[in-house]
Amino acid sequence: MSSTEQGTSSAAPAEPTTAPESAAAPEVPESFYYVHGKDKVVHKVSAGALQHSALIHGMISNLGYTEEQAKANPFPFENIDGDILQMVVDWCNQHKGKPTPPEDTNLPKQKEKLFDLVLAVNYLEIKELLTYCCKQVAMMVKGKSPEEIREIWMIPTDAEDEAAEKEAKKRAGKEAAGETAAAAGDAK
Amino acid sequence: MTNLRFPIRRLPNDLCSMVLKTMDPHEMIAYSLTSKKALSLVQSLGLPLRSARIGMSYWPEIRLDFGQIDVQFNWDMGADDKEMTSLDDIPVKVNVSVQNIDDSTVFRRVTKSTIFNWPNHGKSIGEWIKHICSILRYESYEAFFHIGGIRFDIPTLQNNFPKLKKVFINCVVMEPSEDDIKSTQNVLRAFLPHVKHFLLNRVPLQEDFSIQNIGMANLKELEIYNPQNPKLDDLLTLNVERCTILNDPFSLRDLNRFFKLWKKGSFPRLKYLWVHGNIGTIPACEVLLKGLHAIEVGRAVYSIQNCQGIRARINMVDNVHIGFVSVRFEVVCF
Repeated sequence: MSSTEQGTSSAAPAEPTTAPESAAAPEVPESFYYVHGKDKVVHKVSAGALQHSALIHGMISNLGYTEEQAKANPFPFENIDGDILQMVVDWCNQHKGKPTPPEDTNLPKQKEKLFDLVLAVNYLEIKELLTYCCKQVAMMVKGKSPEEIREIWMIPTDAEDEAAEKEAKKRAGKEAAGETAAAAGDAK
Repeated sequence: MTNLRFPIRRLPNDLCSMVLKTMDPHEMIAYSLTSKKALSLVQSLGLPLRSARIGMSYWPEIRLDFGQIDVQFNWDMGADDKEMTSLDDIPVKVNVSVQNIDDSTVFRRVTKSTIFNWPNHGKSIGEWIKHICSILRYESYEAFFHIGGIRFDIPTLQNNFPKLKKVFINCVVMEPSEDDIKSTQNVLRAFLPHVKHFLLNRVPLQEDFSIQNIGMANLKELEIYNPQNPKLDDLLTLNVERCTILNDPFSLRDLNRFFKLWKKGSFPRLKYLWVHGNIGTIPACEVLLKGLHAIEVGRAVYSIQNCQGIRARINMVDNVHIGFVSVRFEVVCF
């Protein structure tokens, strides 16, 4: 389960509220950790849910935080948008301790955010969710012709690729020349 | 079509590969047609294949068996069933037929069949073959060449075809033209140095390029159906492991001479020979086995041995009603 609250500072996060656990609570108290994204909203997530993420699981294992330390030091993921992190946390909670089904109906529905979600999931190393996300991307072009695939996946033509490469080379050349000139100026 | 867009090229290559790996083979091939970079990425995945057959007839096609999916490309040459004349022809469109197969039982059952129409992408038939085969991780292609009005030239064949395992050349015209003979020779010249299994049906050959030239290629297997004027000398020069000659007029006396030479140590590579045809005379085992010191080991099955101690079995089956005789020779132990 997770809860969110607008954090004011990553160093001293606000006390997150927790949603009620399921009726059949485990006998051994579950440990919780805290994560936040670019928007500094802190999410309280159980260790069981976080096991989906190889990255966070590794961090937890290495740091050996107590509950208090974990609360005081939420894991910062500044490169992930808050709403994307929320989706990821929700998915991890929904699949906590469950075998992942071959077809996942709990995937985030906002396809316009799929790109950011794929990158975030890849960064957090959530293997199953990444597989589902990749399937979603592939489904966008199911049964399409090469030209339709180009349009949907925004693939530049070879001519556009060549023009972009030329432009990049030109820019790199200019930057190199600028650096040389600056170095010569410094030497004088 | 949905307005949703996804900038796949902004994903790192490993993620792009993950997306592609969840797609069906024909979708990966469609993606490879979008740009050179896309092609390169798909090539790096090395799409595995069970079998592939390239058919170069008036209506060219490629059949790809991916196991649970069969994909067939048919190139549409134009209105009114327009035919292909050379591999440089550009089709008007490409029909892609996809069949989902349930191969959980002995019989492959088609569970779903879909047809897509793709544009020609400005590619000739040869370029299409090259593009598709460059994506696949496969080295046992079979190719079928239809002789009769289609021009095959050596450079185009060598530049566009993958490494072939078996080549089937079929001539259907009763009186092949000079161009047909030239095309046949071009196919043979292009592939004889690399291909080990040839199947030739009614293939028009001439003195400057004959069956003897084919024999010199040291093939693994050669099947000749309906040869034109075959001679025993042709058979003697075929340095192959397995040879099938159907509907030929070799006499039993010729075959007897051939087996006598084998007993003396000739044709050391030969493991299997099947000759079947109308001999024009009353078939008689005595003629075939004369002087071979054959031992009968079964009904119409005889064992012979050569000077190096290699044993072989000869099985002769005759059908006097239709005048056809089948002689099968097989090396059984070394």
